[in-house]
Amino acid sequence: MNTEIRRKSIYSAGVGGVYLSFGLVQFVFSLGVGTSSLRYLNIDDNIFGGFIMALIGVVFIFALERMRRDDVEGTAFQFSGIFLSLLFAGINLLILGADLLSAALEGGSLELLGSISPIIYLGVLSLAGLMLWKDEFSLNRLSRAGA
Amino acid sequence: MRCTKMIHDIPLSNIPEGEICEVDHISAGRGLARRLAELGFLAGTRLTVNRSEGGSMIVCVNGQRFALSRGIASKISIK
Amino acid sequence: MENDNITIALAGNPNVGKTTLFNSLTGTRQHVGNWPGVTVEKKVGTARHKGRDITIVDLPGTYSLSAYSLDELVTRDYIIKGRPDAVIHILDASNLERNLYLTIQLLELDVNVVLALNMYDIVKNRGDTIDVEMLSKNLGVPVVETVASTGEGIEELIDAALRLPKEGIERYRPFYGEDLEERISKVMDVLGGDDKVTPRFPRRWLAIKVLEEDKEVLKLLEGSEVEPKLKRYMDGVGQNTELELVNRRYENVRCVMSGSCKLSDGGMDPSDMLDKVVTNKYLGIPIFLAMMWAAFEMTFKVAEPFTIMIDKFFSWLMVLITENVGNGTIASLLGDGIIGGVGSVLVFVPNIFLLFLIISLLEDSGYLARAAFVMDKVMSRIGLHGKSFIPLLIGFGCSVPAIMACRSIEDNKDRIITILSTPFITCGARFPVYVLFAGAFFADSEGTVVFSMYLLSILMAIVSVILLRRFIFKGEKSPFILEIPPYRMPTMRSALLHMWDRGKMYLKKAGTIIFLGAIIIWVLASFPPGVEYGSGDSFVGMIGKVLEPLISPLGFDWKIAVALTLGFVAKEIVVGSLGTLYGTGENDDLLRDQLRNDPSMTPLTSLGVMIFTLIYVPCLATVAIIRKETNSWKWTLFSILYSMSLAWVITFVVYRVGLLLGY
Repeated sequence: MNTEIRRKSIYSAGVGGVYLSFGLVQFVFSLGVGTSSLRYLNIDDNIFGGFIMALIGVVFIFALERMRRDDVEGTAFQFSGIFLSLLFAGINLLILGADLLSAALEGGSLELLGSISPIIYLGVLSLAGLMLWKDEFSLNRLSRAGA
Repeated sequence: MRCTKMIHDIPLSNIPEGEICEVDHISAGRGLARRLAELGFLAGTRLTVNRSEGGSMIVCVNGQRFALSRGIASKISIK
Repeated sequence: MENDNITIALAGNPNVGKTTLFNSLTGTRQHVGNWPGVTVEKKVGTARHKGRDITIVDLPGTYSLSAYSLDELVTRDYIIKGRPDAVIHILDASNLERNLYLTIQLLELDVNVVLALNMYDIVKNRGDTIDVEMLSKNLGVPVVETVASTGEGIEELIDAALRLPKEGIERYRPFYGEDLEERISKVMDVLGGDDKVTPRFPRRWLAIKVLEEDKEVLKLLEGSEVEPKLKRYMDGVGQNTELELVNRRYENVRCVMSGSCKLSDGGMDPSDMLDKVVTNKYLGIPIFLAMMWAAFEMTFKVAEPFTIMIDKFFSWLMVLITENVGNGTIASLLGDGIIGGVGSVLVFVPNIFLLFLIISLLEDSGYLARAAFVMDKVMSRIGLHGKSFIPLLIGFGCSVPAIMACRSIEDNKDRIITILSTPFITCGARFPVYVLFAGAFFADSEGTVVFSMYLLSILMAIVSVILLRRFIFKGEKSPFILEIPPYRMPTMRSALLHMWDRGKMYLKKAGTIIFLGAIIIWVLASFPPGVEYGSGDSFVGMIGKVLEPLISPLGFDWKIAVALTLGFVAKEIVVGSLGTLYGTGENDDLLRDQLRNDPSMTPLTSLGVMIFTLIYVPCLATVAIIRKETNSWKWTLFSILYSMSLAWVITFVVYRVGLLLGY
């Protein structure tokens, strides 16, 4: 197997596995079952957050599966996975900022470190993926809206 | 001079994903037929099937993507 | 120095950036969407170019100039009758073939044309080349490369347009093949015999339309002396000729393009890659749900700091007034009446504007088109079009722009069904009512209760669609062709523009109807003189007592009756008037306590109030817009009665069943 494909497959498997497991754990937490030790990882019990992480994990798993048959499709799924995870990471970062602002306005405070949810920090993995395969994704092809 | 042509009447909605095919004719009412033609679905035009979900499809014609409902896709016949 | 009034019209396919250009030129706000077919209204603005004022008309986006769609008819009528000094035809340079199809038709209309090759940056990125000079020479019209979002090329474009009336160039004349050309000249000869209709149009164009059996043209020629002779050329010819003409036009286009265009062989670009996943059979809907969830999360969370700021501002203002305004009545008018009334509305502005902003970003990026495709399958099971889903989405902010967005739905039946069902989607104005009652009676599960209201509203809209489809608008849903543009990076500028476009309707409503409403309520609540503000002895109380019997089966008392009645004017007023009636003014926490203490208010009745508010009658502004968009009093009245009765019945059932169950 082509080494590039192998690298991508390992990446997709890894990232996909992480997202999927985090997502499932969060999902389980939201149903009431809890293990406090995992709170270290800032996994809260938001059912939708879990759903989204699991979804991103699934996209990467799909990428892994397609990569075996046709690497172009596999790359497409991988790119989408990266894109989606970065998108949601960004969204959650924005929400975090707003929460901080709200807390400040109300005179309260927010524990910063405890609020950085997995959706945000796992985005780093995707960033890495983006850097590694930047050329293939040819991001400069996206144009400006309303041109 | 008429060449013998085989009659192809495969509706677009039956064409699987990834296929590149050629439009044979359109069987639709006035307005719709014209609309499709003007959007580029002319006899002889090649199109690519990007996506197909139970008949509704996304096709690529002349570099432009269109989403078509099943009803419309079934009115476009492919060679 | 000339002081002639120059008018330039903008024409082009949908989604080519026409409206962006219009905005850049005129500075007025307009709506740009990725959905085909904007409004039929013509947008007019004034541009300033090198010291001169120029009138710009933004024509609807059209693929052609046939008689099959209102947009196209409006466009061609304007060009023929309005006689603009020039038409700027904006083309999507990355899709030249289809865009040039319209160019050919414009050239046949005998009007001055300038081409704007927009989105030129995409062309360069892709590696295509377009020999602009060659293209210009082939067509005989000036061609300017533009990137409307950045403003590149716009100056030269207007310069070229202004030069036009003076230069006489040999323009491209499409050749339709020997056979058709012969018939065209024959028809032209026949038309020569008519002096009433024919002189008003370019004759060759008219002849071609006759051969196409163009509905409008034929209507015009009805009863004229040449009609019988024309019929000879039309019988047995019909559809085939029409399609053949389309075919030949494309051949002309290809002829023009060859020698001036070279298209590269595209690979898979990021758009294709994303689409593989976004429109995937299994992943498409979950991704859509995830996006919607994220959109709503953002709307609430990100708006929060702003809402807090506005709230603080109004509280501060209230204090300022009570301390500084001597006259008690005026203080009350300003404080309870105006600030209480209007303030409670403005507090939601961040939420609503943010929702609109997010929708605009989704639209501009191209995602909404994919979403419509993904949702189409689900929506057709209930009898709706994929395109109906955007208005429903906007409805979560405010029904007024949502109903206006229904214009892009071509089929009339689908349109009306969507218009009538949109008001059920719980709009921003009803939200405070849920927050109030859920907070008062369901404090532990406040979030869940509010969320269920939202779900209920979606359910109501779905039920409404199914009922309307089944009983009133029988028939198949109309077919669906949607152009799917490539994914684009949305610009903050255009997204903010659309946000403003829709949001300003909400502000206008606040500034006018609600402002007046708030004053009226204040008057009703303060008089007869000497009466305690908002008590049962004031006018407002008297009205309530009269209405009480109508809603007591639902468990409501006269105060609720009043609040709901006033809510007909604008739902935002409901909470404010409750504040007035219970004497708590601006203070929501106090109001909650008062509600809890009111013996006639139980968790069950509060549920009833929330449900009733969700379903009943759309607010005045919405009713007005329904009337405008459906153009019939019949449907407007229907909407009112239909929602009112549904609200009453469902609340009644919930209340009575609840009582039976012992709540």
